[in-house]
Amino acid sequence: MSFLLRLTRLSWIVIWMTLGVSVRAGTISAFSLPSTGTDLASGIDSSNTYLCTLSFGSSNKPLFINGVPFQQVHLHENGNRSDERHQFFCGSDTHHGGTWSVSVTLPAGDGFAGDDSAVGNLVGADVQADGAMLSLLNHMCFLMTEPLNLTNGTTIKMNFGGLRAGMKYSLRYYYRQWSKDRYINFSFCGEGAEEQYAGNPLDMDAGGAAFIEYDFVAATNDVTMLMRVVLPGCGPHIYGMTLQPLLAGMGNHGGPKLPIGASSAFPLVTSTTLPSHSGVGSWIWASATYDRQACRFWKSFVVPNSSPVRSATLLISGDDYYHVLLDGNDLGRGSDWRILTAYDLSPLLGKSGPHVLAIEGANDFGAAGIILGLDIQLKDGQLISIGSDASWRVVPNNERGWETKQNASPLWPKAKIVGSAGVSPWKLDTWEWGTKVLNAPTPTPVVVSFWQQLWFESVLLTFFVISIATGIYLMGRLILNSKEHSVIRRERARIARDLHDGLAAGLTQLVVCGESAKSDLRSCPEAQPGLDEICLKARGLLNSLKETIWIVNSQRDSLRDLILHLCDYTETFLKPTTIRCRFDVAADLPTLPCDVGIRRNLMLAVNEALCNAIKYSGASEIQLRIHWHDNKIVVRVEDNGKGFDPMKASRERNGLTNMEQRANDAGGRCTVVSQPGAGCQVEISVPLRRLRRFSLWQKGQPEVHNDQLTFPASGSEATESSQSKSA
Amino acid sequence: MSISTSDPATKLQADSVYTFALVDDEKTTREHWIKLLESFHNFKCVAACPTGEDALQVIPAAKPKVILMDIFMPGISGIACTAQLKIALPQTQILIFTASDDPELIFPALEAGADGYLIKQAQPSEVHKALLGVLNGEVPMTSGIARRVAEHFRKGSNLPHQEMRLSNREREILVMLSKGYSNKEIAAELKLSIATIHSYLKNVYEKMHVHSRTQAVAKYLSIKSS
Repeated sequence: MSFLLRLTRLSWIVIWMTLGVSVRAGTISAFSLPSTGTDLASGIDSSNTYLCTLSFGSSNKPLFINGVPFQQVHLHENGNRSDERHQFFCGSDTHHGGTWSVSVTLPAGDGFAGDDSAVGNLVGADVQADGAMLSLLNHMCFLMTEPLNLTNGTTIKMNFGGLRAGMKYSLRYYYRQWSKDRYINFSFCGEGAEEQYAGNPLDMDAGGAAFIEYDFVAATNDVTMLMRVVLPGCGPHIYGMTLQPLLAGMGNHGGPKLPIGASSAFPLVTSTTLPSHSGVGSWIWASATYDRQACRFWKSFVVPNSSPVRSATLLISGDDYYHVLLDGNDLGRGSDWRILTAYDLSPLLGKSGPHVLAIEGANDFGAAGIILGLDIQLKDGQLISIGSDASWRVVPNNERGWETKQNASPLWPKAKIVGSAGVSPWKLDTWEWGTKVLNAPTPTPVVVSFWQQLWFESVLLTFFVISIATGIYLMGRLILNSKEHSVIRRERARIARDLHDGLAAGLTQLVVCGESAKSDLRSCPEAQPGLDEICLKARGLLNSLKETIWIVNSQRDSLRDLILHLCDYTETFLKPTTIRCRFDVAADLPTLPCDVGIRRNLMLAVNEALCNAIKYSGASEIQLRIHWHDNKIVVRVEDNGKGFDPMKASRERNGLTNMEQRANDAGGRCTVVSQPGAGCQVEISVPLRRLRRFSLWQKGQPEVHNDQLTFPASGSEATESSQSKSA
Repeated sequence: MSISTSDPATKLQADSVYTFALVDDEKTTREHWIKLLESFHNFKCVAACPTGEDALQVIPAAKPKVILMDIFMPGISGIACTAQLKIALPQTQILIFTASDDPELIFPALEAGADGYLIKQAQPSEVHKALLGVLNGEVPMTSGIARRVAEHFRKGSNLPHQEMRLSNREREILVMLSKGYSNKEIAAELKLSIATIHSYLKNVYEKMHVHSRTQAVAKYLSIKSS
C-alpha cells in the first residue's frame, strides 16, 4: 500500500518534470548550463519576448546577453552594503514589454553582497560562459549569510508584479554554485500557494552554472521568489533572472519562443500603461504628499451600449483611508491599505453611457496612496479595464458636485503615480496582493424617484422656507399694519370728529352770527356787504372743511362711500351754478375697502374736471357716470359744452396734467376726449388694489400738486375763484 | 304751485302762525336762529331746548308745527330724540338742523322719522323757503338722499310685508331723483303734479319709517329669544 502511494507520488513528479505542466501548481525545474559553452547556452534569446530581464551586479554598463538587454539592479556598490540596506527597487524592461515592478524584501540584515574580487575564484567561470555571459558572471552577487546574522530560515523575497491572472509565465533564476553544501532553498509563489523546489539545486551542476525555472499560471498579478537560507554561510552566486510569458508548447529553455511583439497573444506585454492585478493599477496620489491631507480623485468612463455588462468588479484600497463613489452613489469606505476590497458594480452599471468614479482619499501622516482597478466584462467578451494611473484627475477640495461631473476641468491636475502595487511602503511579508480581498456586499441600485432627488427636495425645501418666511413676514406686516391701521383709523376718526365738533361748529356759529348781525343791521345798508363777505367766506371754509372731514374720516373708507360722496359732491358743487347735474351710477355699490389715497386723488381729479367744465365748457348739463368692474372704478365726467381740440389746448391751462397726475397718484389713468362742438368727456379709471394692508413694499406718494379743493360758493364767484386759481 | 286740499299742511297754513321748536346744544346757534326765524312773518318759537332729554319733556306739550333738531348733542342724539317725538307728535314736521349736509348723517335721521333737513349755515332766506315748503307738504329729497333711500329699499326687497315695499311709481320717482332730476323735471316727465310727487315721496318716507321700526322690533325680538 505504501509502495503504491510512493509510486503514485513519483509518477506525479515525473509528469511534472517531463511535461512541465501542472494542474494545481507550478512546475519548478533545475537545469544546468553546459560546463563549456557560449552565451547561447543560457537560452536567452533576442527572438523571445521577456517581461523582465535583470542582472544582479554592480556595473552600470549596459548588459546584453545574446542581444537581450538586461536591466541592472543595484544591490550594492563596491561592497558597501550599508547603502543597499533595505533597498527596494523597481525594474522595467521597455525593450520587451511594458513596465514591470520588482521588489526585494530584505530581512533586517543585508543578504546581498557584491564580490567582484571573488569572480576569479569561481570555478570554470571563463569556460562556462563567454562574451556577455562572462561579463555577467563577473558582476554577479551572492547571497551572503556568514558575515551577517542570517540564521537558518531567513528568507529573502523578490516580487515581480505586473502579471495577468490566468496567463502562463516562466520565471528563471540563473546562478552559479559556490559550494554544494552552501545551498539555499528556492520556493516560488505564483499560483496562490508557496511551492518549494524539493531538491538541492546545487546538485544539478556542482561547480558550474545552472538555472531554476518556475512555470506557472498566474493566480494574481505577481509572482514571488523566496530564497530561504538552509545553512549558515554563503549561498550561490546569482547573476540574473528572466520572466517571460509562455505559449502552449513552450517551456524550459530551448522550447518555442514567443516572438517579439506578439502583442495579440499577450496584450499586457505591449500595454503602454502599467498592467495590473486583474485591473489594479498603481498607487496614486497628488503631486505633493503631506500629513493630514485630503485628496480627491476623479475619472469618468463610458459603458458602451453595444453589449450589456456581464460583470464589473472594483478592487480598491487606500492609505490611510478611502471613500469611493460611483455616479455620486456611496459604494464604501476602507482604511486598511493591506486589504483590497472588491465591490461588485454590475448592478450599478446596467445603464450604458458615461459613469464617474470618485474617490476621496485621506492621509494621516507619511506616505499616502490610493490603488484600484475596475474590470468591466461585457457579454460580448469585451473587457474594459480601469486602473489607478496618471490619467486620474486630482480634484481641488473646494470643487462642488465633482463626484458626478462627467467632464474634468482642465484645471484639475493629473494624479501622480507614487508606487506600483506591492512596492514599499505598501508591502508586507505576510501579505500577498489578491490573497486578502474582502468582498463588499453587492450594492443594490437605489430607485430614486424624482421626489427623492436632491433637486426636488431642495426646491421643496426652498419653497417651504420661502413660504414660511413670507408667511411670517406677511403675518408680521399684517399685525403691524393692522395695528398701525387701526391706530390710524382711530386717529382719523378722532380728527374728523374734532374738526366737525370744533372748527365746523365754530364756523357754523360764525355764519349764524353773521346772518344774525345782518338781520340786526337791516337798517344800516353800508354794513351789509362786509357782513355778506364774512358769511360767504365762512361758508366757503365750511364746505372745504366738510370735504376734508370726509376724506379724513376713516368711517368712509369703502368704495360705496366714495361713489355716493362723488355724487353728493358733484351735486353740491354744481348747485350754485346753472349747470344741471345728471347721475349714472351702478346700482349695487360694493362695500370694498378703498384706500384713502384713492379717495383723495379721485376726489381731486373729479374736482378738476368739474372746475374745467364750469370754467370753459359753457355746458348746460354735466353727466357723472360711475361704474365699477374688474376691480376698477371708472369715473366719467361728461359735459355737453362747446368742447375743444385736445391737440391745440394748453394742457396746463386745462388742468389736464393735474388730472393725469391725480389719476397716476391713485394708481390709475386719465383720458380726455373732446372735439369742438361735441362736449368733453373725462374718464378717470383707478384700480382698487391700492389698499396697502397686504403689500410687501411701501412707497411714499409724491406730493407735488395743488391739493386744495376748489369749492364754488355761488355760481359767478365759483367761476371767478376757479379761474383765478388756475391762472 | 298747486296744493292738494287733502294735505294737512294746507290746514296748518290756514292757521297762519308757524309755531316751531329748536333743539340745539349751542346757545349761540339757538339764540341767533330763534331771532332769525322769528324775524320771518308768522314764525313763533314755542320751545328752545339745549338737549334731547329737555326736548322730550317740553316739546310734546308745546305742540309746535315744526321742530328743528340738531343731531349731535350731549345725552341722547337728535336722531333718537326724533324717533320718540315722531311717536308723540305724528303730525309735527321734524327737520334735522345740522351743520353738515352729509347724507350719511341725515339718512338715519330720515329713517328714524325726520321729514327733511336744514343746513345751519344756510342763508336765512333759504331756510325760510324750505320751512314753508315743508309746512306746505313738500317732501325735501336731494338726489343723494334718494340714492340712499333707493339702496335702503333694494336691500330690504325681500321683506315679506307688501306695505314695506316700494310701488313701481315710487321707485321710478326715486330713481329719477337719484339720477339728478328735480321734482319739476320729474313732474313734467311723468305728467304728474309736483304735489303728487311729494305725496309719493311722503309714502316712501312712511314706508321707510315702518321698515326701520319693524327692523327695530325684529332686533328686539331676536335679542329676547336668544
